[in-house]
Amino acid sequence: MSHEKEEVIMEAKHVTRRFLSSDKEVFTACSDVSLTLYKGKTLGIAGESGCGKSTFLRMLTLLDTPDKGEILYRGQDITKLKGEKRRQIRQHIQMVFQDPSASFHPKMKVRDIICEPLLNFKRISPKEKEEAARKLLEMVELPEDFSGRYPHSMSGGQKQRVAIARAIALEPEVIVMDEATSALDVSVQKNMIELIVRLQKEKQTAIVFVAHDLALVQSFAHEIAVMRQGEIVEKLPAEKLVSDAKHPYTRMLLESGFSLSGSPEIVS
Amino acid sequence: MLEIKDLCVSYGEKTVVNHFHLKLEQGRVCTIAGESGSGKTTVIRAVFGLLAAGGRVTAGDILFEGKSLLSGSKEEWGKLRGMGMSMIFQDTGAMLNPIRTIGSQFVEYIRIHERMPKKQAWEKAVSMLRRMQLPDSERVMKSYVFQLSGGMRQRVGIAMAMTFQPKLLLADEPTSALDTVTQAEIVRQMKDLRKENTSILMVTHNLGVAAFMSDEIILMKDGKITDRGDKEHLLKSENAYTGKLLDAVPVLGGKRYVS
Repeated sequence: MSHEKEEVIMEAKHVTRRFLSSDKEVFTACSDVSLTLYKGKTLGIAGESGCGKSTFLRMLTLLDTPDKGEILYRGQDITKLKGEKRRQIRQHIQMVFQDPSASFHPKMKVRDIICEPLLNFKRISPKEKEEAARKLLEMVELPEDFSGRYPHSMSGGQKQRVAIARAIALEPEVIVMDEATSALDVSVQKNMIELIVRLQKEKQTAIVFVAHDLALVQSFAHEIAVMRQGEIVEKLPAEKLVSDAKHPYTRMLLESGFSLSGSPEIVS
Repeated sequence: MLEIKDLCVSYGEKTVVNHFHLKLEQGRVCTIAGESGSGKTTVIRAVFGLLAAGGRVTAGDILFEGKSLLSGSKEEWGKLRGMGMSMIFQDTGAMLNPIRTIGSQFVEYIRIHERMPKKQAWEKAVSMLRRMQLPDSERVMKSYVFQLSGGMRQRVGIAMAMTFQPKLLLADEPTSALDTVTQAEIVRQMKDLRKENTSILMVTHNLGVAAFMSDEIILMKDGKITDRGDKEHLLKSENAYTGKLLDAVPVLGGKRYVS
């Protein structure tokens, strides 16, 4: 895929993050990671548990700070920002987590959950809340009367739709999704992917989607980065994943998935 | 050896399993697949006598080696669980006590079922862990749950479940919490158990894993069986729900939603 005509939204340059483990050893969770996000495109990141995917996402969303390297949002290094400036950047980068029941306040109603970011950034007045909630629910294909519900009375797929509604409320330029569909059934997952793809087309959002299932990532990402032990081992266009993947680790990941027609080679 | 006849289970007023039937022969693998809320977990919980509070069998019978499980006393269940049948849960870490070492719990488990000195039980546990290809099994015995990775925990779960070579192994989403690479390894190890003539009744929503391991796959929706058969049967099945489920599984090099 050539990126010449595409607009760069975010850029991670040589990002490194180290942690000190309990026995004073240095553990490198992300090592020299460089990735670019383009307007209206999805970057998929795949890798095993513990490969550093989530650490990288935490830095993208300003929940953590890299030890080395920089993260540019529209050319500005956001890792150095502090206070109000840092807060203002957050409205452009929103996220959806794996387990929506863990990320919602159990005592908040759906309308308060999805309108909280709008109120925090003073995009709407409290009076406009009901109307804003109705519009957002419509976008994620949930019935209007959900706005008065509590998270516990919804299914996993419905909760994840609410999480997406909250993430798109501020019309961010980047949405980061960390295993956003892993907790869902395959048919619900399929609906969710269709929703995400439709919203991306409408809003031209850049999406980072992290998952360990390569088949899932390649079904709707434009570009795929494979991560292992904190490093990006391979980066390639999603449509060429199966044909062009060269790195032995990518091949191994490709072969480890179970499909209905064939079984993984490392099993036999 | 396991026969489920026309089983109905209700939680309160709500029927969650409706006329379920199954015959499982020695050394065979059967998988129940379906979406959340389809009642698949309730079936194997009923077999293990572990229905959640409020759940009860309203009709039908479950026969294990010709004997009904529904009338079993507490003592009979105590003997059966562990020796006759055992269970692996989605997350073994949640099953174990977080403030005791793996070893102390494993030894306790062995000594509840069989009279033997602690040292011998310890050695038995270590050898079981080694058989599950856990490297450095002495260290695993001395570890706490949080010190082990997801794949290691599941291996500990399988090792514990297989200690007394039960005739029937029940597995509730044993690989759903794992990444694909670890999942492939665990699935391979479970498939190897067939060599020891263990029957497996597994619940999963991963149709790929189901197809790889099972002699028979049962698809459930809203408490009812919608389709059953081997892999070839399901791939060719004309059942609308089966088709919908298969279509939703992402396939490498398959359908793409963007260009």
